[in-house]
Amino acid sequence: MNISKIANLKFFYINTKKISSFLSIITLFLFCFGIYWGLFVAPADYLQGESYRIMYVHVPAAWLSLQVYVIMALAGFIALVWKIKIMEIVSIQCAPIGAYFTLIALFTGMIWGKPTWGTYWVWDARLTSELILLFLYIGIIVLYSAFSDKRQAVKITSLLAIVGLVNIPIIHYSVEWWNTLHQGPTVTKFEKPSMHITMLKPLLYMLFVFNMYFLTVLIKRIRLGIFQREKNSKWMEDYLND
Amino acid sequence: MIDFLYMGKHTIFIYTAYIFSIVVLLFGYFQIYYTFKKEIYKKKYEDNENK
Repeated sequence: MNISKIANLKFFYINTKKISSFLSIITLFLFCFGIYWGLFVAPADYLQGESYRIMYVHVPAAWLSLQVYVIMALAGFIALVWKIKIMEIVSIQCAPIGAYFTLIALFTGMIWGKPTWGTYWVWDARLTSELILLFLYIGIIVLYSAFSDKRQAVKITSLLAIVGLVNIPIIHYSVEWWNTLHQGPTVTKFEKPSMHITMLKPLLYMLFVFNMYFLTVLIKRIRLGIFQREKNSKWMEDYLND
Repeated sequence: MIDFLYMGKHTIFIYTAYIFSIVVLLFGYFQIYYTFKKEIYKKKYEDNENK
């Protein structure tokens, strides 16, 4: 199957209905198992006790908030340069998903902060830059909905997404560049991860599950975006009438 | 059962974080479903208006 075929709106819309439903069911089962693993199977931390278990939703959500932004900006760049319609849809549909992940990362981080730092919020580099990321996502969604010409809107939101990319390395390296309350990298130090394997395994598993969720929701959102754009086209009329 | 679910003095924090995450993820999923339904309803309404 070649890429140009997948990029075809009609082909994508018709052929992904069953795939997205199948992925939804798989993701639900994987997620339930991940929650059980993180909450009840992984051992307690010697220092933080049980509260560290928040990590199994906080860390994957935080990673995905950055990953989704990079995908959104890349898709926006491709849409701007090569004018591929499906990339315009991918770019704008990534924004709400990324906003949800960022919201989860911020909220669960606050909840984790209270028992470990003694406060819900501090204006340190990591937390502030992650909050700016949420504002960027919201800005992109609001900007897109403000335009009646959606193709024009995608051009502007793509530009904003590309400019906003500068925030991604700031978020990632903030814990190294500045003295922050937020802890430094623990998992990405692959030569010597400062986490025991029994704690690391469920974390990597949850990262995979969050990626599965992203893929499932993205496919569903792309189908929605195609429907909104092509609802009056001949092929969509024919497909709906069948 | 309660003993199984109990996580010490931080129980409320842990479950709040998990429940919030699950609610947001479910909302993100079902929002698409309802938007789709709304769009289809809107299209049917427009088609009837044009008839």
